[in-house]
Amino acid sequence: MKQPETNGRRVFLSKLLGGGVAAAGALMALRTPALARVLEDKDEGFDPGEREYVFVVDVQKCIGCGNCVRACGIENNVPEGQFRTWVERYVVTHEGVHVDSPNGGMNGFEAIDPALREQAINAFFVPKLCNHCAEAPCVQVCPVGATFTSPEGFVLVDPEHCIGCGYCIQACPYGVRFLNKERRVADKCTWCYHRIRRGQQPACVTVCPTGSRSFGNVRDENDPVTQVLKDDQWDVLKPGMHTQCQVLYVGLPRVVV
Amino acid sequence: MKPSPRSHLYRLLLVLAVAGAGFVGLRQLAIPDSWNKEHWYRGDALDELAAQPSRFGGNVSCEGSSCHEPPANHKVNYDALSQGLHAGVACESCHGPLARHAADGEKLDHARLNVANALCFGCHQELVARPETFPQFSETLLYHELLNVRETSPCRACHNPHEPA
Repeated sequence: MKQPETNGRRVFLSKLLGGGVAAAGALMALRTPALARVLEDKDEGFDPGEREYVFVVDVQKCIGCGNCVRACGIENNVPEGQFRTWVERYVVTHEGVHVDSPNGGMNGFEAIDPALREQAINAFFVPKLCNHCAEAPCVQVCPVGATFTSPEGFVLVDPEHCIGCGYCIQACPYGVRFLNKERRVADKCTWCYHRIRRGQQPACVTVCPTGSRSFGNVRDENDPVTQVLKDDQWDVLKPGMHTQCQVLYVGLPRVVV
Repeated sequence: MKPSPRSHLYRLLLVLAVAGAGFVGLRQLAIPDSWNKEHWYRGDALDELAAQPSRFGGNVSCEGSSCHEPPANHKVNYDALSQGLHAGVACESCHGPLARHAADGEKLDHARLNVANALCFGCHQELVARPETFPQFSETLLYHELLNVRETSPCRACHNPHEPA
């Protein structure tokens, strides 16, 4: 007796199996190069020679005076209550870590609670700003190409092109972006791109009284920031993000996020 | 006249052609002229962002100015400052941005300021997070104790911010 239906099912199933294996093989072949590339990036790490500029923050020099935050606000017309740069105060105790940044540190800091001071085992200020990541998540997610990396390595926002959707604000692992409440577009630190183009230093660097902030061209042998690279004692925030930050922190305690 | 038996096809082709032309036209309008296809941004944005005016001039704008000569009081202050303990403090850190003081060679407003204790304490108030090596106010410092200096005593009675000691 003929059994065409059974034969049909067997043929179908064996073909399905063969096709599935072939498809999986093809997908693996496609996938492997991408996987390898990510791993390579991780191993190579950050090559400062690829970039022109770095911003150096020496945590041990910051006195929390707030000059940088005030200057940034004036230079870039940052709306009140929003910050392109800010200063955080860390107070480390055995019970936990207390972090505060009243008004972004713009008006300096008040003395901490005496009880907390008793417990403090370490305390310091950490200036924060856009890291101008070489692999910037904000640039990847922008749906209209309004956030981009300039040829010199600045991560910038084109305010005329930005539609204010806020994807980049969510994508930034460092929380440096905000929706400018006056212009209704994404806004953040530009490393004072307009000043750099004129040969000036960023406004925050200009007014920093202790040299906690510095900015320079790593391709210029005589630039003081190159010493930081030679010393090779810098850190970046959230290195696990693999964003290749161009803001290098010197003397950064490990507790900082 | 009898309509062509293929008129429905011609009509469809016409609609598609109009839609295609409309799409291409709108797309052309929507993409900025200076669009950088390689790095995906509007090329003109770079120069537009660079056109933002600087408001801080840096110490070079004070050092090089001849505005205050004679008697060049501000030159004296500048020279004293650049050799003293406040050498790292920029003029604009205390006096505010150049753009509020002068523009196009014209003076807009005084850059002087009222040196109250609050200005000094912005940096020199004792805070646990400040580096220990950084000078911070204390009533128990030797001279402060001898002279009975309190937190409310005017700093400027003894200290000159351009030549601090």
